[in-house]
Amino acid sequence: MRKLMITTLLCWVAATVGAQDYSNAAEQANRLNALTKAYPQLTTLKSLTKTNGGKDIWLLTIGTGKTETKPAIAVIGGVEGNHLLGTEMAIGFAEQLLKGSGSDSIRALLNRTTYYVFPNMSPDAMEQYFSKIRSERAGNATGTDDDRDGKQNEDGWDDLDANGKITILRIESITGDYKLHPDDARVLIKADMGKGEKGKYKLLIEGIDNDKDGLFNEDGEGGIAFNKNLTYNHKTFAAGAGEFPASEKETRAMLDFLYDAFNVYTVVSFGTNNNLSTPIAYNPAAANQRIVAGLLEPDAKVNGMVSDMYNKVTGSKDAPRTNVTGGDVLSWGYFHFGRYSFSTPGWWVPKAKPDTAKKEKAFTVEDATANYLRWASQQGIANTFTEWKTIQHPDFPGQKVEVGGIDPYVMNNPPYKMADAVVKKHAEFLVKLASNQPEIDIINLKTEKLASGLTRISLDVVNKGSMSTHSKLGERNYFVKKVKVALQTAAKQDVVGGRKIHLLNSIEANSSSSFSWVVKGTGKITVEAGCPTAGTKTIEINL
Amino acid sequence: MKQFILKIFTTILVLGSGMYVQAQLPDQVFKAAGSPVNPKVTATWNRYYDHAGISEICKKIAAAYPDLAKLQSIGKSYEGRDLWCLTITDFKKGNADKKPGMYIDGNIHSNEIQGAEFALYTAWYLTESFGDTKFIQELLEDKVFYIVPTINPDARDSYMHKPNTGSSPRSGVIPVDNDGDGQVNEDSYDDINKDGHITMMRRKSANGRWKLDPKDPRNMIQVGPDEKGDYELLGIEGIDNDGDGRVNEDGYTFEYDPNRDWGWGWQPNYIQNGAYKYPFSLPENRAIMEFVMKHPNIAAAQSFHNAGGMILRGPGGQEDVGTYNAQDIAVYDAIAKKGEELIPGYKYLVVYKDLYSAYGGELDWFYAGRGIYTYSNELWTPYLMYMREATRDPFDNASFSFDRYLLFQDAFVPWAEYDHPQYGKIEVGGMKKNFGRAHPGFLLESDAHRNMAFSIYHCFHTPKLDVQEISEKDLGDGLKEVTAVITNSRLMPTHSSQDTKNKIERPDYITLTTSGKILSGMQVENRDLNLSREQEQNPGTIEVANIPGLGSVTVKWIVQGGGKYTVSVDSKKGGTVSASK
Repeated sequence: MRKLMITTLLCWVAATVGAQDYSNAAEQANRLNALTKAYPQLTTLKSLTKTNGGKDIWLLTIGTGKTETKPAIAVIGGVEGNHLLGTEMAIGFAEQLLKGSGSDSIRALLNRTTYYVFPNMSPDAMEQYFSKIRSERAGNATGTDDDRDGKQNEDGWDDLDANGKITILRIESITGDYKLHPDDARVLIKADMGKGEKGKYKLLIEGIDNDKDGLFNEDGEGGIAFNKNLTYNHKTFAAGAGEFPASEKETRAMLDFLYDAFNVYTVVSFGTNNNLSTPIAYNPAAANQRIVAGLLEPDAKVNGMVSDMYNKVTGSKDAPRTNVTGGDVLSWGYFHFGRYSFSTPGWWVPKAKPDTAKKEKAFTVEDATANYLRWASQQGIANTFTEWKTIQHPDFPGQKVEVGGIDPYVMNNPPYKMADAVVKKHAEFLVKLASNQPEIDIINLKTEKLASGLTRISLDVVNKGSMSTHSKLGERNYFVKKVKVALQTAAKQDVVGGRKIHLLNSIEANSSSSFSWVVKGTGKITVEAGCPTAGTKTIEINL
Repeated sequence: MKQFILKIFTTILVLGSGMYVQAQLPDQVFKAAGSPVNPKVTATWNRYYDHAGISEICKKIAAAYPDLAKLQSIGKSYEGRDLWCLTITDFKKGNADKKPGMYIDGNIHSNEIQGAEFALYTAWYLTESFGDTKFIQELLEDKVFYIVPTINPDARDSYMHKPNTGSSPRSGVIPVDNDGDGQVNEDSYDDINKDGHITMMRRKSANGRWKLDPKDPRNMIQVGPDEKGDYELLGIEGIDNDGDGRVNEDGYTFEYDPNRDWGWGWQPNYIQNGAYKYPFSLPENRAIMEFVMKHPNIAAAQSFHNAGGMILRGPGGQEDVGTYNAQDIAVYDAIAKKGEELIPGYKYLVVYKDLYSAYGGELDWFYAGRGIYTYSNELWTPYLMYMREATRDPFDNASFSFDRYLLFQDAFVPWAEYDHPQYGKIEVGGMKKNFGRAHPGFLLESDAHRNMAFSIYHCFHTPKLDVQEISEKDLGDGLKEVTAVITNSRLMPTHSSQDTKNKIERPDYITLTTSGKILSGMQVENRDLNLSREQEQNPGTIEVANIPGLGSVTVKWIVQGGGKYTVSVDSKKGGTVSASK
């Protein structure tokens, strides 16, 4: 036992202090287990399911007492298999939060808020980063026929230069559509045909046409991508999306848990989608479609408020524009789960300023790769670019084919040593977000004796938080609980005026609803008001 | 132990003697055309069976006809009941799971019970008629039926054994907090008169706007603007159990709609009432989905519902209109128009256009998600009462007169007085749950037979492939051109247009086996004009995207040497066939 504890401790120390790189699935599990050992009163860890690749889908619950009765934030990492940072942010948030749990403010927070942390929804895919050949993989271990030709995984990428990385092929061709970047010849950019430019290269992901069907790498290892497999705007039949929504075990495990977690009022996911740096604007046409496709106006306002807070806390800027493509968790959280839903990649390559000492000038053509290379060089990050090298390619006999280009993963995951700062800022954001949560209270209680044994009770049920008890769209959702205001009578008490039970769709931020009853009888009577997303308040009244 | 043996012995004796008593001697009966004259499995088709009853008939069919019927449980319901599937085919001929398949289920809506009997009747009829009906023998040589009588067994039993209306539960039985108050199933119907039927409540009232129908005093009709009524109607039998001021707002009778749970065009509950959490979030539907995914040979499907006398096809949602192209609609139209002839009173309709938009329906997933030609028949139509148009309005006099003169008032619970905790003195009465949607007994078998005949026609028109021609042409220099023509003599193509558009199933494989060397293989686009498309890779097996209904495809190979040729066709939905020359 002692030995086990020491080992666990060592693992934890190794994981948190000594880590030089992102954690693989085993290390992720160690870090999570270490937390439950260190904070048994504040955490529970559960494996919701195992993926087809045999990996656990973990749920770490952080909170105190009856966690299911406190308003909750779901924190989801590993939304995309190539986004190592998202998992680091989710686990790192838990570590930061719990490390601070000795303080009064965090204690108070955990007395009123529950966090459900799903550290990694793409464990099968993420393991690719730690394998012999690095390639940005999105799909899990489910066998799929991506090009729907009746054969599975018959044409994946190939590490033609045997450097352990899947990069890019450029093939010289008179019909090529890419040309060299004018300011950085390592980088290829699209030739602008509209301006009469001519391309010189065709680009392909490193590989060969293994099945000789004229397509390259169209059906390799890697099945269904979590962030394409959810139910909103699912692209059925598209590669990686699944034959129907929620086809995968990990998807269903999360949905099954969350649909029963009526206390969740907000979902925060870490992935390429970003409505935190820039909020999603209210679009009346989209919001009013039969199949609702845009945020309802009050919900767009909340997005704006939370986005402001996010930008203040994280100090982030120059976020790239994102394009929500369907089947994603950000959309699901709002449109189908009916909760406030936020997503951020957490980090992106900062805009690099030209180094005048090196006589660099602003780029004549904006390009993400060129910017990355300039930034990386300024940061002293080396060895993330493979110089172009000519190879013999069986599919292009007699043509000049070169392998090279930027490493996988580096454009959307910072070097690990920079991850800690990202984690801390986002932990701060998640704590701050909870300070805005809906909170029910009962105020302005008044009792009037109308006669002996006849009392009028009146009171206001207020939401003290700066978010509504329910998103506006969530008010329509079947899987939410309404705000219930109930007068609970004891023996020999009769309600002669008013309704015993009121159900309200919501109470908006910083607003209240008034109730009154006329009760015949004496003794103590109870009023209970609340809902899982905003907590429940009970008061006793003497008649 | 001794007692146990005695029990078994008694059971055998009772069962044995029961069978002996029921089966007629062959010389005592005379065959009515088109019906099994002395069936091995005696089943009565003028009544309904609960899940245990269905299970027993399924087991008897499988035991009586081991070469024609195999029974398997393809999953469990939420409460653990088996989802029985009878596979019906001539198991002595060919590989069952490679024959073009017809999938039939019933009862997805738990109150729509007769789908189970119609499906089961199909299995019974096919097995009992096989011995003396050549058409059935040929059909079962070529085709396979997968018959799942009820895909909602929990709530079927709930409908039959618990108090219900004719329209409840419709749902499955997974509890849902319908009114969002934090309590589950706290205010369901209440069977005030304890008769197992949830009917209506009325109360004598000087301010009422209803009166007794002079044509049939059991019926209630609304009074005119200048008239005074005697009664008010208080809704469906029930009380306010939880004191929230609402009656029957959160019961077991409606939790969700299992036919809004399928993985095509699925929408959440606030857009599509009845949707559960995500596609196939209900265990029964998930089991069916997994079965269908494992049986790509299923080319046709029928999902029985009630009521209204309809042969429905998709799309369920307006957004999916483009999913159905002209070629597929032609197939749907041809089969369904035959259906209108076979089943008097039934009309061929399109869900989104003629009924309402419904997302996540079973027929949409079968067709759009899997490329399977699928209908849902809405069984029972009031037309069948007097063989003329009538409505399903519960206050329609036709129903009352039919009940009076043909059912002898067996379908009606006479009004009687009760004390209601909230409404005081009331009367409870109305049509029983087994009338209005379910067939009356004497009409059940004939309509089951007609709907089965439609399913058989539907199944008959799944693809039937033949190698019509293998011919050889000498090209000189030791080279031969071998041409094969593959025909499909039925209405359905091997791939519906939705299938080819999305590549749901793999192409059909046409393989040449020869001792010679295959140098090149091609699909012939126009034989007369000598147009063809070469397949460079693996030329021995030509991959054909589709073999059209009532049509053919031609392929050819250039072969060096060799002489004897075998052409084999392997199609997921068209079956396998081969010929040699």
